[in-house]
Amino acid sequence: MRRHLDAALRAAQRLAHAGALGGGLLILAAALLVSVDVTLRKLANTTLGGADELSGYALAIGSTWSFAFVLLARGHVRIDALYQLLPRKLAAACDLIAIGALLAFASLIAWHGAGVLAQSWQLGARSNSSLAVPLAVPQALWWLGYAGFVACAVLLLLRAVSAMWAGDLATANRLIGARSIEEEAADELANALSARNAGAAT
Amino acid sequence: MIATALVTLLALMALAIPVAASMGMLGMILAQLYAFLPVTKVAGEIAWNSSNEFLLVALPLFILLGELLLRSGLAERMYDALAKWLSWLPGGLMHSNIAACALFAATSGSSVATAATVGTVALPQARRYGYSERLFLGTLAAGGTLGILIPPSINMIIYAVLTNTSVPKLYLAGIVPGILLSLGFMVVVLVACTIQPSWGGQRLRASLASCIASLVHLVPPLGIFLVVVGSIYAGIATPTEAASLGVVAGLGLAAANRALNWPMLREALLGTMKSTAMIMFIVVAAYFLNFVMSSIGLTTKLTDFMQGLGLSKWEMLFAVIVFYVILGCFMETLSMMITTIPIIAPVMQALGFDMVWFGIVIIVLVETALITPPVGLNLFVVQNLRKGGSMNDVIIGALPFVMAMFVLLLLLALFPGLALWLPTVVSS
Repeated sequence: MRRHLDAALRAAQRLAHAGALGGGLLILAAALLVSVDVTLRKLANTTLGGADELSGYALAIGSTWSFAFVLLARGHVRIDALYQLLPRKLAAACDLIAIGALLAFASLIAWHGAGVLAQSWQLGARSNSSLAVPLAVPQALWWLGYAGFVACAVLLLLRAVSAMWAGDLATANRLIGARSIEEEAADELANALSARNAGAAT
Repeated sequence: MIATALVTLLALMALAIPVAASMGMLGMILAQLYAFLPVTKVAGEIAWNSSNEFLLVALPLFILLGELLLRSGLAERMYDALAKWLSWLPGGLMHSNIAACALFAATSGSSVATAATVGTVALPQARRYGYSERLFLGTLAAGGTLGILIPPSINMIIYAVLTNTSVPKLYLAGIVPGILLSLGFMVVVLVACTIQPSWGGQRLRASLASCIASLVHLVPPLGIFLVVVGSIYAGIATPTEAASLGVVAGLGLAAANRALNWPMLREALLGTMKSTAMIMFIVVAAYFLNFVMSSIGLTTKLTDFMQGLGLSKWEMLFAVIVFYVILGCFMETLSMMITTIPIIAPVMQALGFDMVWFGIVIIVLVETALITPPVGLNLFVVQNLRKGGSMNDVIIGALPFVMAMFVLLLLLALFPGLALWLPTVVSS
């Protein structure tokens, strides 16, 4: 059981990484598209049309595709002022409640989001713009992100419970524990330092 | 109803439930308890509508611009140039720290990124030239907070979205207070090093010729500032469009410095999406919670309650400032803004405060929150930089600069024109 969960988690990790990178490329594409649009508008007095609408979809899709990545990196902000003072077992209980709450709220959105998608599909709804995008397309891509997030959260919850059941609090903490503000700050710096070294090497 | 909501929210957050999930759960619980209609049904629509808003697209773009600039080698050259110009002052390199932060802030919308970037470059100098480490660390932690006051600013976009205020006006309004606060920080250093010259470290002298030659390194950050902020006021671009142009300029700058390659871009994109997704989940949860709160009448009750306190305009401002200073000690700043502003801003508006002016006050309070213990992210960023030593050094070093922020708040209250003059001049 645990072995299957671990394999599934590793696969999820690769998928989440790819999702976030895809999301990032969407944002980059949006930046280029909008820039071209502005330049054309200023210099040639014409526009591509719809750059604002498309970049909005890029944001919606790009963020949901990165949700699972943030979850696996334990990047969702938690207020840990009290949490840090708790004994390990209580903190572990908090971690379970935390992932449960994330799961509950994301499931609510995914459930009703599916309704939004189904409605757009049935009505053949198109966006109210010159592009007249069939809304079901961006909404389906957006919804996929929530579905992936829910799946990932379920996997994490199961694996953490199984670790806790076996008394392995360290593994559970590595999976769903709160990152301390020290870890947060260390990451920010590692980022700045690696960037600096990369710059110095060239 | 107010008490139930408040206690539930505090309990959820105290359990260290992620902020987005806390807000979402609170919305679900309140809907269960008080709503006559099944309001949670609209969660899907709210999530979709709030996440494809064009103004919000500026968030990932500004974050991406920061990630690109961080990796483009711009900070070192800029810092060296400023050190040549400013380090003859009493307090030496500490002035270049502040100036470098202010200049980097003019290209970056994030305070943490500003502190991390300038800190990485600056801190190795502190020991080499015998500076008082405390004050040196303080200039970096506090200087970094300028990132969100001097435009562009990620937090101002969040404020603008929450209160329907104009981003261009907020950006203009931040410039004079941003410059004033930078000067205020420098005055703190000057005063401290005049009283206690040993804190100042060894001063560097550079020849006039090398000073002038170094000016060329200030061109890239000023260029980015012109592209991003200038294009808004030239009437060429909206904030989101300006951010897009900034990303293109950032890519160009990195390419010119031969720093642009696939591994660099991949790291920049992943870093961008990590912050973006975290923020967007909170934004979606906040929209959902606000919808539930207004449909069960809680928002009206809360504003009625605050107005029923019978405080005068200035008493209320004082209360709000105290509230944010205390809350800022314990809460991560973005979550603090998103949870409180939808409630507090309408009250302040009803009392007759200008929403652009209040936005600047909020931003300065957020800056305070970033350097007040125990939860001040900039303090931790700077502490991590030095690998060893007590956290208290950073906390004490940053304290005088918190005072400078309070002075700025006082000045803003006495002379609202400090923030509002520039937006009025430009719009007329």
